[in-house]
Amino acid sequence: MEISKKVELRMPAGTLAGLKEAVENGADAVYVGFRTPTNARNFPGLNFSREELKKGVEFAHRRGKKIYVTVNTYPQMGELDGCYKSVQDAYSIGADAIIVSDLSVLEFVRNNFPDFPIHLSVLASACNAQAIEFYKREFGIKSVTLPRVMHLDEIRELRALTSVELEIFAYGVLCINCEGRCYLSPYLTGVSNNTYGMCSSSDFVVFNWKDSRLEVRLNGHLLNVLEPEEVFSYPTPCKSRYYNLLLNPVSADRQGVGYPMQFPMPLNILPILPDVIRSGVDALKIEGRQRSRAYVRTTGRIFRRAIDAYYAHPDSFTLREAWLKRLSSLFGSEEIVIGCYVEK
Amino acid sequence: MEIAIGPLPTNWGKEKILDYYRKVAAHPGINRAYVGEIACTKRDILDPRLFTEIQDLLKGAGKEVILSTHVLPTNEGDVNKSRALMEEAHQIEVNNVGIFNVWLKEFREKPLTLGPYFNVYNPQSAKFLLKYKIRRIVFPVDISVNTMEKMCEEVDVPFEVVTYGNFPIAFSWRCYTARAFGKLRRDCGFKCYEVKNLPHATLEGEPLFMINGPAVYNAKTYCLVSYLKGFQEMGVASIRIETIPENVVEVADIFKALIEREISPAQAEKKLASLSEYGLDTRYFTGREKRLTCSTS
Repeated sequence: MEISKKVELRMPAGTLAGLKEAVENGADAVYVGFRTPTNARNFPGLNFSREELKKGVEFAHRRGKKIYVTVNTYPQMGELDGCYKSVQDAYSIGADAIIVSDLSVLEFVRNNFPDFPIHLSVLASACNAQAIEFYKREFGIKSVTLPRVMHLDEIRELRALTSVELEIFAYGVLCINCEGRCYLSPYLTGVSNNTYGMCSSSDFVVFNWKDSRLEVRLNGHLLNVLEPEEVFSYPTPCKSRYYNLLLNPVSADRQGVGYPMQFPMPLNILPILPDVIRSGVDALKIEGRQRSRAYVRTTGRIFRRAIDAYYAHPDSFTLREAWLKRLSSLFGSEEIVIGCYVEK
Repeated sequence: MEIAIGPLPTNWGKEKILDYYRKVAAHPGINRAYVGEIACTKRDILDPRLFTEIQDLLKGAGKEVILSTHVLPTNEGDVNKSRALMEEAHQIEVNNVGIFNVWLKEFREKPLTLGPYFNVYNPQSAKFLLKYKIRRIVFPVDISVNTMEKMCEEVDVPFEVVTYGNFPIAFSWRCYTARAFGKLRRDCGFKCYEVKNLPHATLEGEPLFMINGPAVYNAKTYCLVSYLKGFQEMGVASIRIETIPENVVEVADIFKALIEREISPAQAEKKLASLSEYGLDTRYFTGREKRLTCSTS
């Protein structure tokens, strides 16, 4: 088959050191955020100051790589000015694109920085050609991150209907509910993740050992009880254990409790990489600005190798067991999920 | 202040749905009904014929009728399902930018409501959308009171607040009901018609969620009666009650009495608590306010 442009590998970075790891280990572009509630990974100790971003952009540009800045929360009163300021800063520092979801921020970028490429954030939940057409017509978006609700058949259909770059999530923590339309965390904590960029904020998470088991609570609500050997994943309401009261009444031995929404396993599209590339997507995104340098290094190297291997021999691409094994060490889980790309 | 009734949470079957809307039609306190399915693009609770029947029934009783449309249409077929219903509707509510775009291009003469899942979180976004002549905006469920107040002040459009009920607080591609029975969405067998809302509790037995198809609902009933006076003062035009099939009449009665100051918020809360299976949840809002005004622990 005819192969056009290579898919772009877009890597996360929560720190300047992480950004350098990403640039040196296979990223075509690195996406980052400021240390404010203007982006969807507003975690303590994470993200960039203006100065750090400046250094990061210089570092990446010298090596021919791009930096995208996320200003992708939905600001309420009190946050709007911060978002506008972040856009201005990202532009003046020379970022290659701005990742946005809120209409007022989109309008601000278009009116004030018409040459600043816009990537529509996953939080905009643009999951059909009509939505993408709207954002393209109104704001001239260059790229859209598709929410993790689309089957590859739907992505192929979309490819035929739009010229906007399509980016999909390739690896990392899986949001099982549509990003930007999930209110589980505010339901339990009172803090809007759409606004403050924190799902299941660590301010509300409490771990407690009890009878040799680890209890995990979010704002007092018991999300999980883990045996010492069990795989640990950051607690979110969607990846937690519950009773299904219709099928399993509450019992002392916790008979029948399970993960009714999603097991805490990583998304990994490597097993279907050729199909993903052939669907016509333009970019693959690795999730995890909150994760370590080792995570960035490992995912970067492996995805770089896999992508290059595919383009070298598109018809005889073989998935290497070693890649999966090394990736599995990142989550301590051999098991992976591929979301709904293949099956809904 | 007007009272609106939210869209259909699941497929109760044609007769029960019609019976429900007959009750809504007969209720003098209800001004407006949203009719439609928002969570699942597969189960087709309403076909255009049933929608038209309900629309005629409610219009005949002097109610405003608004078609509610899907939050996550992920392909052209899904979009066309909404389009077919939009053809029949007098008014439309959108919860997805793609469906909004269809309205803009094809149905612009029909009054439009931006639903609670359209995510209008600030006055500037609302003003941007007003240039398209929007009829009404429903606040997102996690918006702060401060922002609501500012929007009512600055933006010249009627606002609506979800004030009571059990409603979706997450939308997925995955059918959680099918998953509970070991099935995929692809061959779900429409288990959601049989089991309706599946209650889920924490490992300590605290009821937290209900699962219905690809949506997750709050288990305890969201109840903002104590804020009602504040909403009235800031100029909110209408409150929205998310549908409860069994007791829509009783709930609407209580809100009507509350708006007309015939009963106090405490009395209303007591009456509403007796109608709710897992009790009321007033913290959702309160917790958020606390977090916004205090530093975190």
